Amino acid sequence: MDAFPYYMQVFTNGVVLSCFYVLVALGLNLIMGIMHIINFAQGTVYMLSAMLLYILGVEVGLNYFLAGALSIGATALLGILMERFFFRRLLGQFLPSLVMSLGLLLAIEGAVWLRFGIISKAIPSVFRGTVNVLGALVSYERLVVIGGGLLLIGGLFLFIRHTKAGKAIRAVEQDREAAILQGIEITGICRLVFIVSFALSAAAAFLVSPMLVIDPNIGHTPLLKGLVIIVLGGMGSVTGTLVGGFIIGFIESITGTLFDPTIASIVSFVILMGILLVRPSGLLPYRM
Amino acid sequence: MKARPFLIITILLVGFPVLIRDPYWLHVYIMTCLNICLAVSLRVLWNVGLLSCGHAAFMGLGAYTSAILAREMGLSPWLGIPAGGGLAVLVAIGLGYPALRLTGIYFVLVTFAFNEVFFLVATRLREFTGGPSGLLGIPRPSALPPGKLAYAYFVSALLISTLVVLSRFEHSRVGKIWLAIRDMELRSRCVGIQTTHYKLFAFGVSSFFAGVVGAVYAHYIGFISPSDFTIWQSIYVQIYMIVGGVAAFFGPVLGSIILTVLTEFIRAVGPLQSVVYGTLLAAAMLFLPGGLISLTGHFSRALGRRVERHKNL
Amino acid sequence: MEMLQTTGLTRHFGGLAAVSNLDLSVPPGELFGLIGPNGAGKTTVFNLIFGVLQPTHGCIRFRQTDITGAPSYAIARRGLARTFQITSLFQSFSVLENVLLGTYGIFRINPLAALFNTRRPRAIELEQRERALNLLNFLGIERLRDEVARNLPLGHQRILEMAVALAAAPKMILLDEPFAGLSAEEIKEMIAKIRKIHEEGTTIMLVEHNMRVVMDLCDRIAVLNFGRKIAEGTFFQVSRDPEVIKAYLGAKRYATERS
Repeated sequence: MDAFPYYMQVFTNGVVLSCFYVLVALGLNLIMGIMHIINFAQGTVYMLSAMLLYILGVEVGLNYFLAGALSIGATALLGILMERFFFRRLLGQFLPSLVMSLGLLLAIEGAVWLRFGIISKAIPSVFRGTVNVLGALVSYERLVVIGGGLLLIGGLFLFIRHTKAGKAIRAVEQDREAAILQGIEITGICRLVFIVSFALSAAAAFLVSPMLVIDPNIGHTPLLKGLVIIVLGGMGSVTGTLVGGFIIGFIESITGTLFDPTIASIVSFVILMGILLVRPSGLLPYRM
Repeated sequence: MKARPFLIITILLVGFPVLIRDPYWLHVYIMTCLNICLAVSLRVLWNVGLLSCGHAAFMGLGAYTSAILAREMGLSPWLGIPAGGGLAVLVAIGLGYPALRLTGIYFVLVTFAFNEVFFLVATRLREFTGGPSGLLGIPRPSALPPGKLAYAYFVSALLISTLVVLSRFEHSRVGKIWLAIRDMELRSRCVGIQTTHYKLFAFGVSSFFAGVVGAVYAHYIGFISPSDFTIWQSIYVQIYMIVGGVAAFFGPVLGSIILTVLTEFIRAVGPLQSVVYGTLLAAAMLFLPGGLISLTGHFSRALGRRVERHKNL
Repeated sequence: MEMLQTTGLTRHFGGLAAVSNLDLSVPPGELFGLIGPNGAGKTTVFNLIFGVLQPTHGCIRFRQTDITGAPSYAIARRGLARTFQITSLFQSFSVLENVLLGTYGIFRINPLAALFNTRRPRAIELEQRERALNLLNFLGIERLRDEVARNLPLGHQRILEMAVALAAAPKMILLDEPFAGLSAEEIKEMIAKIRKIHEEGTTIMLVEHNMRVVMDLCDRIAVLNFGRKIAEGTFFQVSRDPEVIKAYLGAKRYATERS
């Protein structure tokens, strides 16, 4: 079974990429579902979180897990601030919020670039070593991403389905007026969604950063892929994001290995355009 | 449509370039004029209720078309430039036909994706487009005397034509129909207006000018590459339009001038430009949605322009 | 020949039937009323007729042509017009411009020709402008012609809505609750205007809650409840129908129980 390790590699890559993209895409989708806006700065949030991880973990020298906790906490706080001072002002206005988030993206990335320069940084691996899975070597690193990612995604599902807060979020998403009549406080829900959304992106950064470089532009890929995913899966649908995320993750892994990353990106975007033109509601619309 | 502002503008555009001695500032002048054309043509789409994140891709289509035709077939730029615009229109119609049935949010994403795909494909098709390193040696229009001043006048002529044409559209019944579609699409359909056709027309017009600007840019600089036509370029055009103001026809003009010149003055390149532009864009959305031009409300009234009418965002 | 005819018109939303097996028939020149308690599906009927919604079953014919599920702009071009329950005027335009917009869909000019403003488009423009002014005059709001639509009081906005719908001289017009929210004065004015329009020969279908108005204006009425037609006839006949009384009493009881 000569080719098996090769397939295993592609498969593992697929799962890793999927988990990564899904975490960020879930953030996009939650905000989209509640406020009907696209937060183009979502990828930037991921980048900021990764930067903070680098500063705390490498420059300050904290333990990686501690740095991670702090980073996630700080990012969640950022979510509260952004909701309060930026997005709340433009509630209900789709185009202005979208454009504003673009402005935030530009401004924040530019600021980070000015402060830290364009030279990529790296966070040393925390989990070293590999393990033998079914005859192929898989690094612990990747297993952590997969494990952590699936855990978080599962946690989010449970949260949305079974907690009071999660149900409130679903209610607001389905029918805002009805939710208000039921006494759900919209502002609180929006804030919660931003916290969860930003925390997920920060968690993604925590899991993935040791494997990737850190520079001001790393937010672009998860944002772009995230957009494809939420359209593919169906805007506002958490299940859809999961399905769409894994489809895109695997397509990217396979085409990236068979051809090259550029082709993989082209395929993703052609899929996006195709879905928009053929079935804009996505694969699994309205199923939270 | 009042003739007076255009008279003033024509005088400025004729008199101004000669006064600029420094070739660097002539370059800035040329780029400003091109940016104005882009921003004003993007506003055509905004007036029909659509935001496009793909304007740069149409620029790129025009640029590559004219450049390749000139290099491979020796086609004169005087033909190549309209050809570039024409191809942009064709692609716009092809893309728009399915895409314009979608509501605003989806249209933004489609144009976004389209721009990305254009960039990636242009990077990939090395044999055709020169790949990431781009195309060199794009010839100037032969009839133009050498030197920047001649090109500055060429671009001035382009600008004045663009402004006149687009202003005529805006004040004609087509422009009114576009606004009606933006404000009340269902109502427009119920009085018999075939809204998809009008949106398609707006998309075509907007893309035509983007394509022409792209081609003119290609023949000016002599070198183009895919990174000239990324999503960020599209977003920059949006910034000129929005910060300048979507509320009035001359808003994007104001925005382009102020931002292009400002960028030069503070030597904002790369990240600093991002910070400035990004901040202005976010600030505009949060605090001054009508853009800078809405500040000149009373001033324009004195000059006889009717900004009052279209103050809605 | 009937002006408007629906046969078995049905529309489901999920499991619910918003409109169920509706047969309507409006002869030319009639002022036909469509009434029923809240939520009976009246506006849905208008949306179905006008192609805003696709029917699940059934067929709609206008002047003998099948228009079921046709696009709204095509239906308008056949001579059918409508107003909306929520005022849907072109807010930033003047009264005159609003009416002109009502004609732009039907008396079309090639967009590129508009650019060059040649003689023929200009002649058409002038002609339409005159017709629009005449219409405004007919409806008594000519003096408001340069007022911006959003600044008008509600009564005048409603009249303008009708003017926009009438701008292209439709054969039939669907009025969706034109009297909602009007003062007593405005109601009187509105009744007079609608009578005037009717007298000119336009066929009208009116959806309305205000029973006095319906009694005053309508030749015939159909009553809807939960999407089904439960009675049809003159006001006199319909108001004595026991099912109709039950439907309205039931609605009233429901309303009082809720409060």
